[in-house]
Formats: sequence, C-alpha cells, structure tokens
Amino acid sequence: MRRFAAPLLLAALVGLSATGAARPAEPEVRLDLPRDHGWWIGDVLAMAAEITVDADLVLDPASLPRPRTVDYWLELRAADLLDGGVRDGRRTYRLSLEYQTFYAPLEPKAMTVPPVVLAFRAGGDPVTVTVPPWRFVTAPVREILAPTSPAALRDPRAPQVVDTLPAQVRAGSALAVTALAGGLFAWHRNLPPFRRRDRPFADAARALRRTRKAPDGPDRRRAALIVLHRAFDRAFGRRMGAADVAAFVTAKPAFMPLGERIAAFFEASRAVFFAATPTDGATSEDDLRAFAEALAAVERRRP
Amino acid sequence: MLTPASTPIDLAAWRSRALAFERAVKTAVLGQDGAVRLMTIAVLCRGHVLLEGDVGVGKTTLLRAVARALGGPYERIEGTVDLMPNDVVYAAFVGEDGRPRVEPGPMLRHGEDLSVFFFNEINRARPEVHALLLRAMAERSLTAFRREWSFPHLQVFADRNRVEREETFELPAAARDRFFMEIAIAAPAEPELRRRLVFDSRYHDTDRLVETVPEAVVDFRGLAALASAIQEAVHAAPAIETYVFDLWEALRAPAGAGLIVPGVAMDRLVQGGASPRGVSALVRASRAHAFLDGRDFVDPRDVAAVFGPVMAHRIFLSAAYESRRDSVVPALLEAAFAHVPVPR
Repeated sequence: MRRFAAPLLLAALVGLSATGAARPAEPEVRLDLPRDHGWWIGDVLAMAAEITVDADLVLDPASLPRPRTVDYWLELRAADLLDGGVRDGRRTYRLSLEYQTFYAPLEPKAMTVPPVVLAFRAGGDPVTVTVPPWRFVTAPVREILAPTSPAALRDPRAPQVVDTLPAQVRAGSALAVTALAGGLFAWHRNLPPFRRRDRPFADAARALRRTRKAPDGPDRRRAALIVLHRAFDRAFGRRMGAADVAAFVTAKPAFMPLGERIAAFFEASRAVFFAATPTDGATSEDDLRAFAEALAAVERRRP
Repeated sequence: MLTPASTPIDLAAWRSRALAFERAVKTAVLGQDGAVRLMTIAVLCRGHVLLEGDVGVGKTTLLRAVARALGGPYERIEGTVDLMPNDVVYAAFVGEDGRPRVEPGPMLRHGEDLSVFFFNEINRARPEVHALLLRAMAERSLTAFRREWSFPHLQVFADRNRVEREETFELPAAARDRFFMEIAIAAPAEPELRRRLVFDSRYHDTDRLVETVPEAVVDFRGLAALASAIQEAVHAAPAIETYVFDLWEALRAPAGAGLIVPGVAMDRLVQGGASPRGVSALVRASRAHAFLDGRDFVDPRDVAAVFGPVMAHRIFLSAAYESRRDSVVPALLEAAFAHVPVPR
C-alpha cells in the first residue's frame, strides 16, 4: 500500500467567495490508497482520505458519499467518516471508503475510481473539497481462450425439497385457535350460531318446580307470583303490568290463546299484592305451576 | 252545606258526583279526557294546578269550565309585566267624590269563601307576584287590611303558554313544587275532533260554551272533608309503598338505579330528585285516581297514570340538560317505569 504515496497537495478547488482580511489556509487532502495492481474481479479495495481543513469549516453530512453502485463495474460498499478533532486551528477528518470491483478485463487494465466531492460550510459560505480520482490495475482471473468443460463446474447438488410439514402444522393449529377464539367470542356475546334463546317462562317453570320442595309458607305463593312477574318482564322486554297484557299478546301472537289466563294472572296478583284485604284463594300454587308450564310450552314451540 | 268531619262521608255518592263533574266539564272541553281526569283528581286532592300548552288549545276554557262545575266564588286575573302584588290584593281607585279609595282587590273581593283563583299567563307576572301567590297556595292565607285572611276552600289554577319566552318570568323551582300537578295540554290528535273544534259553531264563543256547563256539580265546601276521606279510605299496600319508593329512588339517582336514556350521561342528569312533598302528592293523586276508578286500593296503574303530571316538574335537571327538558324528562320517566319492578 502506498502510504501517503502522493502527498497530493490537491488544493482542491476551493470555491471561495472570500473578501475577508485573513485569507484562510487551503484545505489539504492526503490519500491512503491500496496497492496499485494485482486486483481481480470481486476484490474489495479499501482506501482512506485524510482531509485537513480550517477549524471553522464544518462538513455538510449531506455531501458524504452513500454506499451505492458508482459505475456499472464499481460498487461503493461502505463509507465511514471519522472526526479527528482540532489541532493547531485545523480540523482533521478521515474518510474511509470501501469499493468492490466487478470489472472482468480481458487483459491487465488500469481502472480509474472517480473523485468524491465533499462540501463544507464556514459561516454560510460553501467550500468544496475534492478527494481526487485514483487508479488501480485489474487482471483477468483465468485464461481467456481456455475451453469451458463441465468438470469446471462444481459438483451438482440434488435439488432439496423444502419440508412444509412444520408450516402446515403451524397453519393448522393457528386456524384451530382462531376458530376456537371466534367460537368463544360468539358464545360470550350471544351471537349465532351459539345464540342462547332466552326462555324466561321455562326458567320460571323450573324455578316453580324447585320451590315445591321448599318449606310451605304464606310467602311461598307471593314468591311464586313474583317469579312469574319477572318472567313476564323478561319476555316483554320491560316491566309488564296489567295494562300491558294486550300489548304483550299483540307483540307475541303465539301467546294469544293464553291471553285470558294471562289477564287473570295479573288480576290474581293484584288481589294478592295491592288489595285492601288481600285475598289468597283465587288461584292455587299448582295453578300457577301449570300456568308457567303452559307458557313455557308456547315459548318452546315458538320463540 | 258544610260536612262536619265526624259524620261519615258517603264515598259512593261522592264518586258518582265526581264522575258527573267530569262529564260536565267534558261538555265544554272536547278531546281532553286525560286532562279532565287529572283536573278532577287535583280537585279531589285540593291541589293547585298549572296548565301548560300552546296558544289557543283550550287551557283557559278548561279552567273556566272546571271553575263553573265546581261552583263557589271564582276570581280571575291576567298576569302582566306591570302587575304588582298590591293589584292582586287591593283595588285602588278615585271615588265619585274625588277622593281616593282602596277596596278589596280580586283576591279578597269574595271574602274567605273564594273557591277558585284563576291566574292566567302566570309567567308574565313578576316574581313579586309569584311570591304572594306562593304563600296563598302553600298556606291558603294572606295578610291584608292589617289582618289575616284564610281561604279554606281556595284552589289556584294557573296557566302559561310555553311558546313565548320574551318578557316572561320563569317560575322558580319552589313555586313549581307547590303546584300539585302540571298538566300539558295539546290540541286533540283525532282529526274528527279537530274538525269539530274548528267547524262546530258551539265551540266558537267561549263564554256561551262555558255557560252550558252545569253549575256547581260538586259542592266546593265539602271537598276538603272528601279529600281526607279518600286518603283514609283508599288503601296503599306495602307493595305499592315499595314501588313508589323505588321510583323515587330511581329518579333521585338514575345512574345508580341503572336507568338508561340514549344520549344522556345519567350520572350528571339529575340535580335534585323529587321532594317529599312531591312524592306525597303522588300518593294522594294515586289514591284519588283509584277512587275515581271505583277501587278501594291503589295499584301500579294509578301510580303510572298520575306520575308524569305530578312528578315531571319536580325533577331538577343539571344545567346542561335543562334546555332539553321537554324530551329528556319523559324519556327518564319512561326509563324508570320500564326498569322498576312491581310487585317486588
């Protein structure tokens, strides 16, 4: 490697619009280049440029070269800038660039890497510094006229069949988990196909069957009436009173045949709960149970 | 004919008289059966009534018909911006001899027998007049000519139209609470009735129309005794007590009771629920409703029938919802009835 082989005082074009009294020192660029020759297609060439400028010059980061395809045969793979700090009023930057050549020469040939232009700023005045172009010699890898033989190819490998079983298992289990979660959600939100039909009268009939075993007492009949009242409330969608019987039967015509019994139930309940002298005889608890079963039967037939 | 409290009152006879009173009022007022029933209940409970409605729907006619069917001395005053309390109590004028005279004004003209005091367009009168009226309503008494006047039979009927807001004075909450009922009057919905109201010449002249109402169908002097007899005779079962209390609680704290009105933040809706005076009025009105229905006990239908007129104006909404009162309060009452279970 030519270590600062050419201390090129490339007083690189300094676009100065300076009228200042103290003219600033010229920027200096020292190159640290790879060896001149002995390069093949695919080789990586690392170079560095040490740039010394006045301390008040600030590098514009936008002007740094980006890793990219520089030419059809040259790729800039990496660019790195190191700030070396200020010494004696001069600031030193070290710009490291890594190129890769893809040039396939038929004979040894010198190639030129294009220059890199960096922009600096000093109190608003732009200053450009050029890292100059440089050359290296690249050579062919093999004889130009050598015949191509199959043996030159490397061992062919049998094509590999990708094993998709784990992916299938994963997809299947994800699908199952999704379906399960969807089902649970539908069940939780009472959505089809898990829609639970609200059967207030079936619940009431069940509750009344259960109270048969409870100890008998004056409150039991009242409790039975209240169970049925709540069932009517649920079926009607709001609190249902004696005045609502007609509206209920209109809204749910399946209960039409029971209309009179429903009205009679509300009358009986009124006599028990509200009358000045509560009468307890009109309907027995067994009647209420039978009434609840009849309502539940209608409800089962038609939702 | 004053009925002493000791003599038992024939409630059945009084009921038929009350129904006759209703029929009498209905001869002059078309298509307002609900309002007439509520007015009858107010009369049976000795409660003051505020009628509210659009212009020209028959508020004044209804009140005049009720006053006539009730019998007894009746006085009427129009609320205006320049009406002062003294104008209600005293009549000042210059006599024939050129000397100033002060005589009893509208409220005192009939002495202590005054049965109906009818305040037209109450929201046009100033707050000073409201204050005078409040005392007359709450205590049925008045101080004038350096003495106390008491009006044992007095019932105040007032009306206000809700169309105008210019040059009016909103009734303070305390005043509204003293009205037993606030009845909303709207033109009848049935096209047939509306056609008759417009084309039947019978309804063109209000004075002649009111004159057709039979006079003094019920004896206004007996009403006080009847009112307390009804309250004693009509039974309110514990289940009804629970129901009324639950409704009261639900309106006091709608969010806690689980009421839902779409588009309303329930926890910020109600500023003050109904007063105990309001709920006691509700119970009294429910009993009167049951009495008119021919029952000796209150059932939930009675409560539901009088709930709106008795309670709606006693619910105080927070300022944010006060302007939407006309839609929010009915929705709130509806939610309460849909939510509170009975019997429980």
